[in-house]
Amino acid sequence: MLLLCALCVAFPQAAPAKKRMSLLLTGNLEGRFSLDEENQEQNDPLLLLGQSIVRERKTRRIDIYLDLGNAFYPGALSKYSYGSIMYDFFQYFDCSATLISSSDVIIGVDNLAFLQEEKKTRLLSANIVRDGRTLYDPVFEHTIDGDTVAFIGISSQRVLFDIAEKSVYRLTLEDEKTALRRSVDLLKGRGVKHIVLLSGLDIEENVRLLKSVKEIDLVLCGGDGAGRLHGKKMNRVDFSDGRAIVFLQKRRGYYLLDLSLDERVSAGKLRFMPLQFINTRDRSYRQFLNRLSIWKRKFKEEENTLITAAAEESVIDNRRVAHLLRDRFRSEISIVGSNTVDRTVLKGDIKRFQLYRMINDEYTIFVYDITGAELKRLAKFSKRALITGYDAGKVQGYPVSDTRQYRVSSTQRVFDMVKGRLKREIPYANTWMNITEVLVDDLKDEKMLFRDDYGYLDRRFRMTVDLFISNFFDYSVISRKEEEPVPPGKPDITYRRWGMEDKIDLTVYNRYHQFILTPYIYYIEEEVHDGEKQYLQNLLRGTFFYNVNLDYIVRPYHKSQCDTVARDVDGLRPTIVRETFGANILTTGAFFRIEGNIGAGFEKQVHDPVDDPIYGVEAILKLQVTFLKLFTYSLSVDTFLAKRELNAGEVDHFRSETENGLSFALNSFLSLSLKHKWFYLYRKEYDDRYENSQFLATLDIKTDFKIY
Amino acid sequence: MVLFAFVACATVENKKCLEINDHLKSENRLLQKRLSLLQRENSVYKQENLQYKKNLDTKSAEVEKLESELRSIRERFEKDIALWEKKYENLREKNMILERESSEKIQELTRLNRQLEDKLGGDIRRLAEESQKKDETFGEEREQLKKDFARREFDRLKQIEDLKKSISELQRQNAEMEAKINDFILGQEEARRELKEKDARIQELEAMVASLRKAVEEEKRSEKGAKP
Repeated sequence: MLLLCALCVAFPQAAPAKKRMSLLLTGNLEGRFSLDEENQEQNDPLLLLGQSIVRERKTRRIDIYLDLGNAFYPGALSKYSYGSIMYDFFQYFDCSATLISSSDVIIGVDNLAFLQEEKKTRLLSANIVRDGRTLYDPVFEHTIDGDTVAFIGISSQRVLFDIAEKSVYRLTLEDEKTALRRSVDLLKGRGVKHIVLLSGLDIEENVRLLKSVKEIDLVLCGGDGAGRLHGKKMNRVDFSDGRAIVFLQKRRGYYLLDLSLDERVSAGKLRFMPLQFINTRDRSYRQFLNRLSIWKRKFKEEENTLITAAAEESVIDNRRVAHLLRDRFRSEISIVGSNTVDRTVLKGDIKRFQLYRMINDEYTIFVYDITGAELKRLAKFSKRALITGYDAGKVQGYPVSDTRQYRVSSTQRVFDMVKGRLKREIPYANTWMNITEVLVDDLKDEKMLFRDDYGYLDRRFRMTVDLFISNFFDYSVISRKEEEPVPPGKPDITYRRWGMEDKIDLTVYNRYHQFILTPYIYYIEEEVHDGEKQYLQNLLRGTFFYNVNLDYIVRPYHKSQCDTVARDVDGLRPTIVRETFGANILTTGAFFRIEGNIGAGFEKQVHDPVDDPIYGVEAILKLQVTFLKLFTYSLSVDTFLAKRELNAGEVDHFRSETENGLSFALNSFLSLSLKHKWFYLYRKEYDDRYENSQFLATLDIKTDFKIY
Repeated sequence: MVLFAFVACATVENKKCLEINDHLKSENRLLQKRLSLLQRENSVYKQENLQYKKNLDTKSAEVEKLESELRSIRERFEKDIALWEKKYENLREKNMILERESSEKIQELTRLNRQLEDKLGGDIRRLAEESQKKDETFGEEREQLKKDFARREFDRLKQIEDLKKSISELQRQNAEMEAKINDFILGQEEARRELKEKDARIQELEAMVASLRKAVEEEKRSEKGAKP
């Protein structure tokens, strides 16, 4: 006994050996199976991966195989099979779990959940929530020599649910910290000590999570988790407390990672293994190969169907597709993501699978309206997207108006990006078609995709209706005895006064032509108690304006204007028409808009009484300056300088209308205005000068519609 | 006001309709997707199933073929077994006969062997005795030969001694002659002649001695070779 004690003292118990776990990791597989059966065992990257996995399992001790996300999309075959073949890959090669990432959900969260049923491979995401419950398994656990290691999946915030799924299943992406905390607490309750996070987050978010959730031992990123810090790719970030973030950066291969299970899970060396052909007779591999071959044949059978034939070579890229969306949905603007279309040359027979291969955005197309100001803001951040229909501050050749609505078509993914940029909810119309469907429809029918010139889109006519309404009503009732004196400053008679200054601009335009029809009424009527009416303002004006929208700053125009009275005066309806031709100048800036017309023509009173025409020069200036966001100063000067006879030396007719206004916008269609109007008319034949100066304080309603 | 209320109600109703419409469209789209997935998966599984069925049919046919082959082989084997059993019986009977015969033969051979052994024992004994006798005879002969040889050796040695004596005598004579030569310097020629004669005589004698020695050695060798 003493000897035994002595031996125990002499040879203290050795520390228990660390337990180890070997992982095989993949990420960003993107379902990129080759589409050919011939030599597929040598050429198909996923079969090569399968061969390697089989070999690794036979030659080394691989405890588990995990995938870190983006496995299902955008590979054509995986897309065609709605992820089924990729799920088979995981199943046959014994993948324990895969993290749901942003590309995966494009396959459809519901379809993925369906594929998971009764399968061994688990889909992981702790933060994809449906009706308050996680849709997929939040955690995958693996026990090795009595020690359990839990792997929690956190999906990237870039996950975007299809609008249909979002609406039907009420899907939400929960805050990652909350979701992680919940899963960790659950595991702690079960006594699990070793926790590894499979993350789709970027490096900063992962660091933040590690700081706040101390129970996490290790983070593995490989799908959406880019692992970029200040633009540089990172392989690994180690913390002083022994924890680490490991990133899988390389593609066309897989990684091997050894974990030591001690107090914490610590990561050993990460080894990248490139793919190579390995001849194997493994049963699972052969069974998968057989199924893959069937899928490939099926895909070719179905997708090899001829859509159309292209006589000439056409390069299909983001720009063409964006133009096609403008055409199809009659939108002025189209925005497509930078990686929406893989640049492809189409010639000869065009088959469906070619389209499957080249389109990387399967979300449905939304049509929505944004303001000109928002459009300008979007254009500044166009690195991740291509904006067509907008060029150098112009849409259809006209300067973008900050307040006017512009119709945009884009996929739901881009819409989501736009919404994020503009930081507001944008009403939209879902077309329920995706880009591939639009392309197929177009190629079957009009083949607009093959056009080299999309200028016709700008030559489409659109119409805008701008309403300016400013009305007032004043009804004053006086009740007093005749002899009673009127209090100072108060009216002595009952009266009713009402008036309006209303204008509608009906504009029909395309890239080169602009027609503006403007009915305008300025009418103020006063009626005293004895029924006597007085027209303080009684103008009814119709203007038809046409200009040729050239690329130059100066554009030719023609204007026809007809002024008459709204109510007959003494049974008469004097009417004056003015016909002018000239040059229109338009320039706009961030906060101002200046438009000027200089033209020549004639003015003629055509009714009550008919008079001879007078010939003259017209000068119109319209200035609008916006400041402090809500204030707008406007100046409008309309002058006509004329002579009775062309050869006469002196000017015998001068008409000028000037309006100065300052308005404060209460909201997008209501504003308070202070205006000063000044009308001046000089007629030599009467040797008469008529002036009318007027101050107005009004509540204006301004609204506009656009018919696309 | 009524118009506003109507428009408002109509708008609310319309909005609800639009929402329901959107929801239905969403469901429709999801179902279409699911349907496509199911149709395609089903088609692949069908084809795979057909392949497996075809393989199963082929394997079943192979199994049937193998079974019939097995049956025919079995039948053949059964016949063979019956034949071999018959052969075995025959052989067993033959074997029994042979066993019996061989037993008799063995007995006969044993007897003969015993007789032979007895005969051989007698012969051996006789031969041993003869050998012993021969050995004895041979010992005597050898003894005699040894004696003869010793005697001859003695004789030869004696002859050698004699020859040696005569050589020494001749040498003495030679010395005397040489003395005489010295004495008779003047009769040198004669002496030389005589000397030559003497030398010739010496040579002859030496040749004789050598031949005798040779003869003695030959005899010695022959004696040694004769020893067993």
